[in-house]
Amino acid sequence: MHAEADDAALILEGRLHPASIFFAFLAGLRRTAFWLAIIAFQAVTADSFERVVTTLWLMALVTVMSLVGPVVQWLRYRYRLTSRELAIDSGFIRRQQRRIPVTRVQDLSFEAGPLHRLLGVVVVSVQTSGTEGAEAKLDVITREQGDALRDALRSLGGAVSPGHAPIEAAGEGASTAPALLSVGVFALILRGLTDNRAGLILAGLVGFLSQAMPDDDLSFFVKAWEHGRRLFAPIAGQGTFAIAVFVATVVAVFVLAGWVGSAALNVMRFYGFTLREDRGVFSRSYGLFTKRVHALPRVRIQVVRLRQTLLRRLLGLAELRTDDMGAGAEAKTAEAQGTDVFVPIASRASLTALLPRVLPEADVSRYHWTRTSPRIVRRSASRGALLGSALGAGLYGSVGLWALAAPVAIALLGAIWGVATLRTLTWAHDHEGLAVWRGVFRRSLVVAPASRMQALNIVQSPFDRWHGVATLIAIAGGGARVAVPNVPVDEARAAIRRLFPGRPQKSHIA
Amino acid sequence: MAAPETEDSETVPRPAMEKPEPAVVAYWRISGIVSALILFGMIAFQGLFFLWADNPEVGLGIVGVAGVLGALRITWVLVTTRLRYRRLEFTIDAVNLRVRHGVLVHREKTIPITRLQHLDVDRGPLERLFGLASLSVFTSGGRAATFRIPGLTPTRAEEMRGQVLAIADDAR
Repeated sequence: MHAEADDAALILEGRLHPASIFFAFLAGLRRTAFWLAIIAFQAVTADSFERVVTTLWLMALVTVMSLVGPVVQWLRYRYRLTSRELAIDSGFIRRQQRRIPVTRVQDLSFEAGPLHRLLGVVVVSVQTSGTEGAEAKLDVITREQGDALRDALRSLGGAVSPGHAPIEAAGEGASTAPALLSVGVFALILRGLTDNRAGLILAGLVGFLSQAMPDDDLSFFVKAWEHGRRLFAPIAGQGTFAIAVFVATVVAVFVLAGWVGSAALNVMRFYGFTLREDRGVFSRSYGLFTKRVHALPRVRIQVVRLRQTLLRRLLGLAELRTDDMGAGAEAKTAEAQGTDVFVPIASRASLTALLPRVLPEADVSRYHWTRTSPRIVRRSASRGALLGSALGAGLYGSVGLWALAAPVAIALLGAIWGVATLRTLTWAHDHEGLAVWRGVFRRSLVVAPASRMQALNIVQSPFDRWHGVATLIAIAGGGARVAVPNVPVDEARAAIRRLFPGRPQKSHIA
Repeated sequence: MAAPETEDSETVPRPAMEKPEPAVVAYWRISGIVSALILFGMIAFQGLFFLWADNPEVGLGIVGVAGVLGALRITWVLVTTRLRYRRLEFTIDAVNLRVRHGVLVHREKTIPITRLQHLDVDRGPLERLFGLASLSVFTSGGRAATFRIPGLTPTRAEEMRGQVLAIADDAR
């Protein structure tokens, strides 16, 4: 158990405060409150004394049972800090020994509610740059223990939060650094108009119509038809043409409203967008009503994505997104605040020029781009044939021998799609990064620097094995993914050897 | 059809891959059967209530479906464990952790040891019964970037833990 203690000096060790039993019990109580309430209700409404006694016994039993876990956890929980690592042993049924190297500790956060303060205890969360937030939670230890742990970690050189200081500095000094790029209102309106919101508009349309329809037992479309006829017939005469005009008008109005709404939303969110860089920290200030200054240190950027919808391609526009460390956990808030959008809209040329300044590894001109395996045509066609065979078998009953056309036609479509994919999917790598351009209609360029990569995976489905190809997936910090499909297995392995060389190398970032 | 795998193994000498303890096959079988019994047993248990009440058709139906699904699941576990064992192999060289696994979908994961965030040695109740332990090495890349090896002897797991920690330490 203490095998590694001999070559690393023990600095401090400890266990949880007994109050942790109480807090864990409270937390458990909150989960079982519903059932306890039901039992209590039974006791209150019971008509016989005997039943009251039984329910009280039952409640006592539930209480004692829910104390067992917290007590055992308190008994088993030990933490100790050596000069190398923070070790936490816990669990009785499932025993766990967790080791967190001191150098990986990014921050300690302290949390104390009123009850905690009364008891002089604190919840200490140990944060590394992992995905799940806190890697360890000392819930609860005394404030003195917490301070001792923090001081010890600080003296060891851990528990420094490299991200924090520069973020504050950038927030203050945002106006001083020259702007790298700003986005005007017209560009934002264009962004709104080229957003792919067709699905949203359609959903809104259906929602409106289903609200507007009178309630009866007809199906929705019959209802819509009848309603349209009733509404429109007196004005423009009767007949199907009139109804078609009505429906087309409604759709047009909704599409227009969707466009206007989308444009307004984009202007509201990103108004006055300015990107600045100051000593390795990017800051983006934007917003019409809610103004935001969002700072992003370059070291936190894991993956860069340049995206073009079909409409934006026609206009030569693109947007730039970045995945940062918290991509997994904070994806929703990032989406809501637009913090994953690095540049909302700009011409593709200006964004391509900006890329090397965002990350040196994202300089697309440094790479030697290649296509993936031509086997994708065969793969796509054979998949089409298989799919078509299944469809043909299903259709055989109704169309007879014509069902034979299904596999041929779908295989042909598959082959065409395969050729289109082959011609649009290119990838590149050197020892510092992996990049891929993909998409037949919507195009996206994704770049991941090798220094941010946490794992490189080769994934081969049975279909892939049949055609001797694989998907190469790079996983960056925070779970950001870059996938290159349809790569010959040997090329994927060669890429891994280049990105993760076999010689010991100092990693560029922590 | 060309076989790219052989081309690759010719060009670069790879370090010998290590296998987990053969006992892990029995452990997988037992734990697979136990978890299937618990899951489908619970479903079947729901059916018993219907049998109890005056709705025996529904009850029998639920028990029957749970039984069939449970049997299928157990058969799948028994059939694939051997293959799963054959596919699972791993290696730790001076820089990288590498693991290959997967029955239907083959996966090969390479993780530089310098990316280590923390590591766990886990021993569940069944694992202890079989004298096994599992080692998990976590990075900041989440589940897809986690190196997890089941079926190690506790001594080997601790040895590997020491080895990984030493390499991670030296690199900085």
